[in-house]
Amino acid sequence: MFITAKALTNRIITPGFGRILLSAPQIAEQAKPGQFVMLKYWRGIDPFFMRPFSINTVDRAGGTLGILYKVVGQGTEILADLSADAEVEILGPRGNGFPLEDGMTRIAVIGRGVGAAPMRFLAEKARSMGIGVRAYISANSEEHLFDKAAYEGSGCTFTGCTDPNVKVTDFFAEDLKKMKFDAAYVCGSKRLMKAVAELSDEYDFAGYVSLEEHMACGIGACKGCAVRVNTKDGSEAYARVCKEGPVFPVKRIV
Amino acid sequence: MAGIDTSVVIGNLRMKNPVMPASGAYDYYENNAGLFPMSDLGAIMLKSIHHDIRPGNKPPRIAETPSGMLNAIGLMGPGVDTFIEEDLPFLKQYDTKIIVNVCGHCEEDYLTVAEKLADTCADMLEINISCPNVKEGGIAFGTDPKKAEAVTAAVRKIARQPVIVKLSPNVTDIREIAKAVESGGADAVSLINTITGMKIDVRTRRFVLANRTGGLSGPAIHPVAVRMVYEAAHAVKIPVIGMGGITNAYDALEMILAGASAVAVGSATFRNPLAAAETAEGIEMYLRENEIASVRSLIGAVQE
Repeated sequence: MFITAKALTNRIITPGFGRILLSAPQIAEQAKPGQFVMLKYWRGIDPFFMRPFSINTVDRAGGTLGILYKVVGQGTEILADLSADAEVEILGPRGNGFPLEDGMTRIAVIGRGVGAAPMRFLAEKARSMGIGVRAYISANSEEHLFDKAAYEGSGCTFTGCTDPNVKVTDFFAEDLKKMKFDAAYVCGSKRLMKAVAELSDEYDFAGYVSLEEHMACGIGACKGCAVRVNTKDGSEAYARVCKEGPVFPVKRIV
Repeated sequence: MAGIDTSVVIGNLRMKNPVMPASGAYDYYENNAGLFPMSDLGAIMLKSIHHDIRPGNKPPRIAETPSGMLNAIGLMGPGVDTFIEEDLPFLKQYDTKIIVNVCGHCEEDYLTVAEKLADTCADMLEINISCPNVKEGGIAFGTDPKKAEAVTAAVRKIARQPVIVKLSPNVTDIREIAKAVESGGADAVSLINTITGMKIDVRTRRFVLANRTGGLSGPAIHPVAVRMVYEAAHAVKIPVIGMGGITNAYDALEMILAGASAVAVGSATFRNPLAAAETAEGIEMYLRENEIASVRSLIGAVQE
């Protein structure tokens, strides 16, 4: 779907980080946790590409999508300056979301900083299905644990980690000794992804990772967002993050 | 004004309008996701097909540039057998022409693919002798007039469909190459492929693309493409398909006025998946507004 939506609010939440809320009922209706949208919110041909963003929140009743962003370059600098009632072109929702099944009893969502954005949507969806959720989120500082209140508010058990010498997955490893998890979902950090892959060798749970890449089209056409994937015979093979991903079984990547 | 004629002729093929996607830019059969019907376009131009499976280049493969992009995808693709089995049957259902872009490392590769496509529903072949992103990715043929003529003649002998030869802008004189492939029996030429470029990240002091160099495309190259289309159109009698930085109907009409009989929309579809369809619609609107009966009367019609 390719539509023009209106921004409802856009605010900087802490220096260098913002949240934008978009009114896009058709996309909110369809979006699944882990999917992403391509956005264009400027006139003219510079910047040239639309920008991919993971979906942080969906409110189907209210018809809104929430995006959490970090100001890192030309595209997000324009986004940070965008007025609250701006028009935004949205292509999406795109890609494959996180596999989530009825009958799961407990899952882990793991992420770091702004990269953990899609985990909130996943956690809230899982909670609405009656699935127990433990969130393990790391960040540089307490104020970068952006969605802590939301996780706690939706009934997740939240573990935040701002100590650079401790991996947040160590807390997950401790919990794995005590309780069974059906699945773990990770994004926003290669280090955390590797840790989840290693833990999935030791314990019986399904591990999934959501990857980020620079994209031109977001729909599988340009083949620019390629990522190396494991093959049985070790041959060279790539998958497109936008089309085959952005969610992959963690064993396919690590 | 009734009875606007947007059709154009390439080889023995009549296209309902002059617009197609550029090869490698938009795999319609897989990706248009119902945004518009493929039959809105004059033709579907498919990605490069090799005789075997191509994994493509190591990432990073793309970089944004001022009004454009660099790419070094490396012709990632499924190989001709899978393409014929899985993709072509799906494409047949659409009321538009099918053009298959053929790539190879050596003359034999091109011939293998052309031979396998001979009895399929492919309406036309585009021979890619100009991909700058893979070793021997055809560019060796595209920069040497003698080799270009020879490979064109060899493919022409085997192909059952009209043959377009896609030219590289990375040459001293585009007219010389265009004439050479015309002598080799090409039914049309298409140009320009991407211009070889490079981007370096000053913070990390590394190449942005794993391949070091990539092909520059997008609006940044449009004036270069218009000039080369103009030169090629005046050098050969066969039709020219113009491409390079087209984002809308005005860009497309500029190419047509320079001498292109048809046009392809490439990188623009990455930022606007409707770009090709909007270009086709915009050309028709221009004809109506200016009371021009046929788009063919605009081909090469630029005046001093």
